[in-house]
Amino acid sequence: MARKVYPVPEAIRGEAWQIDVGAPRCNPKGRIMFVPLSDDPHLACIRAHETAHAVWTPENARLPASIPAIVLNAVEDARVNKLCLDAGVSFDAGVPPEVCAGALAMARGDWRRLCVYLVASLDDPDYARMIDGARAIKDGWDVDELDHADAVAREARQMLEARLPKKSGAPLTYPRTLHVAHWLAEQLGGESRGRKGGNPDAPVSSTGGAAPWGKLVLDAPRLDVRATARLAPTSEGTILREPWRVTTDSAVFRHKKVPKRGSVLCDASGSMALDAADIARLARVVPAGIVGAYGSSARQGTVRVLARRGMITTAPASYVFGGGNVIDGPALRWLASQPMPRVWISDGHVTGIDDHFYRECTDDAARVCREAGIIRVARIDDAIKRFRR
Amino acid sequence: MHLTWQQIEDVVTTRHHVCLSGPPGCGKTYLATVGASAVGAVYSLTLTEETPAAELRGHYVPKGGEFVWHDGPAIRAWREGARVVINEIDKASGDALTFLLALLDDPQVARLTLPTGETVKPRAGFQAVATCNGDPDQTLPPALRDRFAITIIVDEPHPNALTGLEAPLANAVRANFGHSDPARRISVRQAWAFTHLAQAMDDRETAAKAVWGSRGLDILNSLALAGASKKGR
Repeated sequence: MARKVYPVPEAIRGEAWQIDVGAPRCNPKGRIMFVPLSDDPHLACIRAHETAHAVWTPENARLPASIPAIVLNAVEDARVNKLCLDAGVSFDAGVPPEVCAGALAMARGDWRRLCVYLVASLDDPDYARMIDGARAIKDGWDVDELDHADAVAREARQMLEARLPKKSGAPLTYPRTLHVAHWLAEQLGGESRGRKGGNPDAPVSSTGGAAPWGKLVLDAPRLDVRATARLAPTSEGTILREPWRVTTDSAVFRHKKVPKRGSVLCDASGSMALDAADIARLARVVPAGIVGAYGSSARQGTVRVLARRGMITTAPASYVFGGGNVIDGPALRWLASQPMPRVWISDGHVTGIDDHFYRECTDDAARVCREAGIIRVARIDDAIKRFRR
Repeated sequence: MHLTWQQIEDVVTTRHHVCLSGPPGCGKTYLATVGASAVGAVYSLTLTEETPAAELRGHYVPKGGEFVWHDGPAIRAWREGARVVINEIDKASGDALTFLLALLDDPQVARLTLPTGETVKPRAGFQAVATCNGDPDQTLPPALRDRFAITIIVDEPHPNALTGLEAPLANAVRANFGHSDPARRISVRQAWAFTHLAQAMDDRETAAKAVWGSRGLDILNSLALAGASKKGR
């Protein structure tokens, strides 16, 4: 099993924190942090960033109605990243390439979202890679628009540290975040410069009544490794299979196991700590079942079948997902079509397109779970326990 | 409700038999052997599943052309009315366990006849302080558990153990001490090893990696952030 690596926000004030696997976010007031826990230097950057929120984002951070949450979060991310660098925390490893969603935003023609990503990533070593990625795609864009997004992002970043009138808050403080976020929201406000020309915040696709879900794509990579044994050792039989066991447990024969059925769907948004070892563990408890996982970009997500009938995929790329939920509803409908018992491993956060919270999405997901008898658990270990009962 | 270290010290000072239970490195043995309550001679022994009773009670040793009797630490503590600190008492072998039941019997009835023929009994002031990592109710045999009327669960590191550590590291050790998930704990010994290594090598990154492996980077980042200037708060 892969080793879990935990950040240590307790070092700040000595208070206990709840740390769990999930899409990266930090609630300094409730002292709850969701981060990927895989042993990977890329992910250490994400953990350091969330720990920095625990240090610098106020417990009762004000969210003015005039500023979209995504804009405020981006500016706050930029402020926190700068403070991290000042504190000597290095982001040299960079965030995982799949998190570099700027190019995707560009491809989707979402100029405002691209700006927001760039603001949040200015101190990231992957910033240049994002710009290059977006530049490589071009598709329907001219270079000026990309340069404009870059300029807006740099301006916002500069404002965070600049000497400004007192009412704008001191440099690199949360009041300054509010000031810059307000400015950035104004810059982005009327500019729907995307290829589609529409409002990127408007719900577009729906697979669950009125709920604005993203589009689901089903992916089935090659399942190349057997994670479960079809035959189990036993002390009774006719053909000697494992004679060396005679001195230990006497299980020198083998018999065919009755495989357990079931379906597991894992919310892998936010680079959750999901790897081949985890999937193999799940595949072992439901040898005749199916194990899938999903994650998404802003408007489209993938449900990927990672194990079926004891076979798993070990291709590392298969375990890479986008950072958002977005397709919880359609993914749950997929799970509802799989054999019982059905278990959904998720932190319970449900979002629609653009990874926004919609009441309709939450209601729809709850309805699907209720009607299909889907059991939600928070961790892989909990799912394994459920199947072992 | 658990006791503070000062209250534990006060209890141990009364010379009753006490069993201290808590995570490794919290200071149980420190308190019993060199803490303020450790007045007079203190004998210390650590049990394993292989420790024979003879190691506690005593045995004959060859001297010149003859064998002479040599008291073990437990009998010496009996004779002198001293304290014996029994570490890892939950690891006691069957042989040692039987001897411990006799050793820890009530002072009014405790008697042991040694292989020399001599019968010894505990002198006033004799005290046993046992330590273990697990829950004594779960790990000690009932008869041995019954010998320790006072069992104290220690759930925080001894304050002296953290004095001198950088504040964020001490915070991290204290907050995650005894956490149910071992992957989240930072032991006192690790914290000190990191501190000494970082000073000796003048290289915190290498020290962190040496002590905590791949978690070292995360711990180092957290320490840097926690110790960062107040700017931005």
